[in-house]
Amino acid sequence: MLDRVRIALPKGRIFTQALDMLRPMGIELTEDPEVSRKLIWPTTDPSIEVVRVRSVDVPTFVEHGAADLGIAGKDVIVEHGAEGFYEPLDLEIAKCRFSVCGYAGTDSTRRNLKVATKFKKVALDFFAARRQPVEIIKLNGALELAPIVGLADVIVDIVETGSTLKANGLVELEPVGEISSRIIVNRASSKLKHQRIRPMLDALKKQIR
Amino acid sequence: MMSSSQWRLPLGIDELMPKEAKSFEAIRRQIIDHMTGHGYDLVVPAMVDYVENLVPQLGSELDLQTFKVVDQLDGRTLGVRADMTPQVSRMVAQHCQGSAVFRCCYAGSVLRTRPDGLAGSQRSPFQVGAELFAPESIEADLEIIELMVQTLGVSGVESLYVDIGHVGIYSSLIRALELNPKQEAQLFEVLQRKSVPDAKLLLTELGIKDQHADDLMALIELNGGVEAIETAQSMIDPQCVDAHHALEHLKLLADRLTELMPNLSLHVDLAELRGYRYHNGLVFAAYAGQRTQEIARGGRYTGHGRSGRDAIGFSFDLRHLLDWAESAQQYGGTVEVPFEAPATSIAALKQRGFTVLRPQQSQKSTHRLSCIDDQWCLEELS
Repeated sequence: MLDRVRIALPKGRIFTQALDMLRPMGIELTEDPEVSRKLIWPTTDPSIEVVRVRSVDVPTFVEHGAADLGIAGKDVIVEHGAEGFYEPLDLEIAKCRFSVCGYAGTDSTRRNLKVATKFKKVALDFFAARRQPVEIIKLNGALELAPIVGLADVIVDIVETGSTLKANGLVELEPVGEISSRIIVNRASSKLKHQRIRPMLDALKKQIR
Repeated sequence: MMSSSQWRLPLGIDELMPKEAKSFEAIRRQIIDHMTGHGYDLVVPAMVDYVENLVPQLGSELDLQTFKVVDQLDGRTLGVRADMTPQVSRMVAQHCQGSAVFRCCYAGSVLRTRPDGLAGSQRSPFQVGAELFAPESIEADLEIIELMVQTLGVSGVESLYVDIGHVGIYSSLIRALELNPKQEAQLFEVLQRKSVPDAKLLLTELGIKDQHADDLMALIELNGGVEAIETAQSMIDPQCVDAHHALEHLKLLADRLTELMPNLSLHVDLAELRGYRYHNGLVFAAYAGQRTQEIARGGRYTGHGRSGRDAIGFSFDLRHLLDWAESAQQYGGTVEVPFEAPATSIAALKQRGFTVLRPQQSQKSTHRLSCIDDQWCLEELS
């Protein structure tokens, strides 16, 4: 019997892009995810199933082996800590970047800068690398509001098109890093199920432009 | 007032109630009996020791993992052991001079400041291990892996999966690059995540190219069945002599292991070095069932002191084995025995597997020993 492989995919934009990459490998959901209320979805490959979870939870599922493989943004991986799994492949989908943003002319290199962010670890690492002491304010959403109401001097956030920033009179001040989505693999699964996982990774690798 | 925290244990610390404790103690005994039966005599290292005895290298991961207190008697820093292997190694260096082969085993609780990501959220594992102090040889490697497999088997763990690797391959490749410690740490971290994209980026940043870069990138993907060793032999720079020696050793070991234990699933991973703190040769880990973390790991290292002896060993957290332990043997039942009952009757009941209880109020038992017409009889209670 073939080992069962469970793939954790994040909700939202990456979900559809990920399914597009699985399709050429003969892995398709047998039910419409928009209609089905199932939590674990079978696929056209009987030994492969898919779970859809919040993007920040993908690393947790994979680290604990609740899923063998997962697709997670580099942002989520960095924030979660990458010690518990392997990251063998950059899928080069859902590309965007982390940036320091704020009002034009804000000096983002100033000491004791107040930084609002969802990505505490990313922001701390970035400023610590240039030995700049900052105050991090953790928010869970509506980051753009922070500089506007004076909660923070700048924000560290994901920028795709920059249109939300522009609409609120903010600009990108400094790039922090590029982000795209990666395949992550549970350490034990990569050994115990390597005969299943290795060909899947090879097939995905071929699709990357 | 009693606060709810009085019912809560510190994070990562747990306790066992009688049913689990019974299984736990049963497998602990079976394991120690098995190991001593193979010449691995039990040693009991101290729970607390001077930090320098517990932590061979300051600033290392083991150092961070060690709880420290100041000794009120002499002001020196004491540590609570986080890993018993360095202690055992120190004990052997101190008490067993000479080069005769020395085998020992140990079992006891260790304490860690932070949960070890690789071993779940546990901060106080019950570490059981065995060490063989003998010159490096295939026979020594075989003996210790065989002992690990058998020991896990004794506790009911079946269909084991053993992952083998060799620290010598990575260190041989790295030596040629002359990196500073910071760069070395960066490279190690990226390789341990097997992050192909980050590794490529870092190699470019560090100016590592050509065969060196190819070898390191190949290392990430050199895992799988035993054939991965041959692939490595054909790929890795022939000038890295130590790497090729290590590969040759692994190949020989893999062949012998397959011969010796044909049912063992063997996996090779040449980049997996995470969690091996002081190892410098062969490293191995055992996986089983649906468990997503290794249940045992070990490897070769150089023992304590300037003229440290070659040693190889393994250890595991006994708690992980509880999943496989059969639920504790059910005894014949409980008998309430009056204080007047003769000792011989009590001994006979215990011999038959009964648990003997003295009479107490609000106590339930399955049987009672009563004296009827001067005869002690066993009555079954409904």
